Amino acid sequence: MAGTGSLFDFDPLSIEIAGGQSDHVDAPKFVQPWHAQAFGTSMALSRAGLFTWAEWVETFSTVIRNVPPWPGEDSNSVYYRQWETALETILLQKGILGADEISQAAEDWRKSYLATPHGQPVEFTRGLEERIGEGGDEGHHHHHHHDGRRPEPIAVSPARIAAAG
Amino acid sequence: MSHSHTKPPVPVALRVKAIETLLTEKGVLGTGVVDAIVDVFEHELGPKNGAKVVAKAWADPEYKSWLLKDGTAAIESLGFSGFQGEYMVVVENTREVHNVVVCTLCSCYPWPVLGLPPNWYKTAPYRSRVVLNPRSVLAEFDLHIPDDVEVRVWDSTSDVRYLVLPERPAGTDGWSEEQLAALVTRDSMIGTGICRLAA
Repeated sequence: MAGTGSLFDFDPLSIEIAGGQSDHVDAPKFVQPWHAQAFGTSMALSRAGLFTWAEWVETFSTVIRNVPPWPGEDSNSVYYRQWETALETILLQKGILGADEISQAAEDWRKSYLATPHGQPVEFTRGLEERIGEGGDEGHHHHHHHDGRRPEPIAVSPARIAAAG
Repeated sequence: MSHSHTKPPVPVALRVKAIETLLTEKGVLGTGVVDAIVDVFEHELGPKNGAKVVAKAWADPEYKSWLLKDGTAAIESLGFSGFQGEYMVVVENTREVHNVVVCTLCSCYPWPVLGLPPNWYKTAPYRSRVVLNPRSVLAEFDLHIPDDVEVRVWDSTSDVRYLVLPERPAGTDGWSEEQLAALVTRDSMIGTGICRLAA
């Protein structure tokens, strides 16, 4: 089940949180531009009414369970990789985008980068090279309902001795 | 120089770019919508908002009882709402009870008052172990909960977001809300830390 090491052994990126001071004050920033882009895209789609946030959480948590970290992958990287997988999953489920067209556009983006001289802005250009994408999808979807009843703690560790008067 | 090119980002980043391009082309998302949301998260939402809520609760008993009764409305009254902070529950730390928040499924978090979650909040070890053995996980944060204090673990979901109201540090009688807010740490509002002590 849970790892045996300390919580902070798990991830080099979080070590500073255990001992640092400034980290307790500010929220972390997005590490990579694509992290921010993936996060913002899911939120924008939900706010536009294409899916509810509950549907997002269900999809995302299923991906988290089913898509393991790669060896040596830090927790932030795996988190956003899972986020992107969830985003593709829900886009497919809702019939908004297909895996093939995402793969094709990603390949077009890659070719667009390679065709752009260093230092110039990269513009998205289609058809620089023809290639069929590999697709890919997530399988099962478990349902987790959280009806709006009076909240209760998920766990309680009772006081082990009587409270001092 | 004719062979100069721009190195493409990693494949997953290309897929994210592809998704945003396609959604914009199809008119599903307007141009700049994603950037605007990211900007709010990077610049407007963060623990300083939560610290204002906590400081006001410490300074104003009426606000505090409202906050504990209807967290959503009391927090919204300070201008912090939306972005899945729609239903907020505030749990109070006392001499008898220490509260700590987790999202066991993913990383549900009260964004309007705390911004983005720290990395450890999103990790599998935290999500599973704080439920199984909260005291030892808190000890890893150097937070040693006395044996006569009950620890309650709250599971955030897409529907309910929890915020911990930490204990007011001693020696702060008569302090202004601004002074008090400076003592409130992010982790104290998740329950994995306590506030700074009054200087």
